[in-house]
Amino acid sequence: MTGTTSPRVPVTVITGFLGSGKTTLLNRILTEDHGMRIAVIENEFGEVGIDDSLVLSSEEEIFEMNNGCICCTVRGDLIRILGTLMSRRDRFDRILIETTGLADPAPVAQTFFVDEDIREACQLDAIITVVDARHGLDDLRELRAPGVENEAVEQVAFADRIVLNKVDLTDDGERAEIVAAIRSINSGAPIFEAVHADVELRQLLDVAAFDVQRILEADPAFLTDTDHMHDLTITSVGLQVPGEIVLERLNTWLGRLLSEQGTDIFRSKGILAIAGADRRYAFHSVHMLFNGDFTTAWGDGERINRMVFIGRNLDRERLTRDFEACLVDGQ
Amino acid sequence: MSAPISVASAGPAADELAPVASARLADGRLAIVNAEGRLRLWRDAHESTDALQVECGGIAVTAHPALPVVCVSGPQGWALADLGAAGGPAPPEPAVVIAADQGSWSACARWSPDGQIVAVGADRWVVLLDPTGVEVARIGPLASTVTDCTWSRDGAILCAASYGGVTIAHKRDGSWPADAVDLREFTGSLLCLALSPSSDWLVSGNQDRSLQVYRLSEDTRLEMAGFTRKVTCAQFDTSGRWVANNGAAEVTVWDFSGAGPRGSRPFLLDDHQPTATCLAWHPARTGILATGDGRGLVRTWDVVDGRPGRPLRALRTPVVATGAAVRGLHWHPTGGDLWAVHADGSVHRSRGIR
Repeated sequence: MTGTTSPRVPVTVITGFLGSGKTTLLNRILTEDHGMRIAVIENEFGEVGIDDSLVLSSEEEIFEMNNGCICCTVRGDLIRILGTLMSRRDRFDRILIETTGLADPAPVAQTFFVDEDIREACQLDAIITVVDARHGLDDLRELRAPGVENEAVEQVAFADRIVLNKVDLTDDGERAEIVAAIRSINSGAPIFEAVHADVELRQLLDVAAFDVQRILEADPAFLTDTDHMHDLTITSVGLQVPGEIVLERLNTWLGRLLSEQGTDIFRSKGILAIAGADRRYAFHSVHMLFNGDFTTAWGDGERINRMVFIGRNLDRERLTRDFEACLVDGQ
Repeated sequence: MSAPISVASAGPAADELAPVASARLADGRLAIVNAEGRLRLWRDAHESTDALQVECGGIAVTAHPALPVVCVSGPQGWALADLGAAGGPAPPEPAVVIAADQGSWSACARWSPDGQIVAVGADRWVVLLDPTGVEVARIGPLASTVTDCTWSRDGAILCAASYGGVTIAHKRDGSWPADAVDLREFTGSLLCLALSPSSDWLVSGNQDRSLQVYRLSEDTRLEMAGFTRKVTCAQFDTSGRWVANNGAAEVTVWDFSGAGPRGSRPFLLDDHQPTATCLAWHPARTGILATGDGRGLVRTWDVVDGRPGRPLRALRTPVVATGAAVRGLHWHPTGGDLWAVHADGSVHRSRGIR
């Protein structure tokens, strides 16, 4: 396990359901006067302002990957396109990936874990999900047959930042309702209300959501506890437990959890106090793919373990019980 | 005592951009293309000219086996270019684009050994073109974007790689009928292909850090796993006995003699960081391999001197050592010299290598 210290190109993923305003946001980022050279990878042939940027379009290609006991899906088209962009490395400050409205963000994120060339050259900065304030609730509540994914829900679950767009078309009550629905899926991602995707870009760029060394900065409201709405199968479970963790027990538990339930756990992240270590241990995962490292020193701060899981069929009691068994005095 | 190697080098021009691919022409010149599709032609290590700019960008370039014609393939299509004859007192003819196509992702292009056809990946298709750029056949669609293709020695078999396996097309009565195409399935992303001179062994390097070995006559597949990185280079030597592949700090060399590599221990060519980026077997001497790595080291090896399972020492200290990753290695057809192309645009031509 190593820290992330090399100057890699930041990559921002913009996702969101059909008509939510993804392309509007993308065009804003491209045309704003920020002085950056940006490359864009898009899967829908929308009207993207090019200006001083390079736009590459491609069809999504989902590949199954089996590396030992780890099974995941990745985006084969992104692997080859990012590889090609890296051959122009000195010409781009940032890469934006705009997915289709029906995209599953998991393969996009997992691509950055799995391919070593991409991992070494690029840093996944954040997944930004754009939600239509007017129609998004219907999308989130749409019932699907068992085993069939609701892409809108998945896109919210995976988000590091959420742009709640077109709020001018809603009243206070409608806005509160959709915010509550979003929160029940993803309790931690900041929500930015917008009209024509007019969010301050500094809120969306350089988030460092996938940089374990900066995980404390990335989510200041990480682990906000909320009332959970029923009827949505994807929820967040946050744990906050004082004490110190026995590293071996943690590895055993997390390894079993992610291999058995990895398909259902979309994302997780945490900051842990490991017995015998004076630095915080930060980690994040996407399904079965896990990345962690020691970060800042605890110093005089209280050693509290904080974790959040976002996924399907999460059993809060069991997660709590199994996690507490990893504590020094847990068995 | 080994004869000294002489190395002539040239650094990048002031505005040189990182090369992504290179090919050696039959007349000995070296064509280098960058990601933007700018093609530069090197006559020797101190003399190069900008040949032309193609619209498709650059991912791969392949040279005709006899003519000064190359096919460049890139993110936005492909281009066939006549680079003009080399040598002579008269000024060279300017390079011209013979034919081009834009719009499809084209990651690979390979001339058939007889120069009659160039196979070009175009999204999920392999397009077969004659030397004037006229399409003569089209194979596919494959399961995903074509990543590599390779010809049999007689030009009668074309293998193409993509996610999901290898598609093998057979030439019949001068054409490429759809019913003469079969698929050898493998659930994974195939990145590179190599076909033995006998056309019986097919090797693929894969995203999942494995090497898959197919014996076509027996319809069997053998997996070599355990590499630490994806396998992006795999090559048979000209005799067909040896296969070298990257995918770890060691270049692995397998012995395909007899019944093949099943159950055998490979030769290990140590210390490529983080892995070998280029491999090139000597065109005339069996078992001599040139390797280049991410640190810019170019070394040569004689696997015949090695012992299976044991690290093998390079023939000599690095032929070339720069800080920039090796992007291409090209032997002269007789093995008299070796060109190395580096990511910073520098080019090194070495003579006197064993």
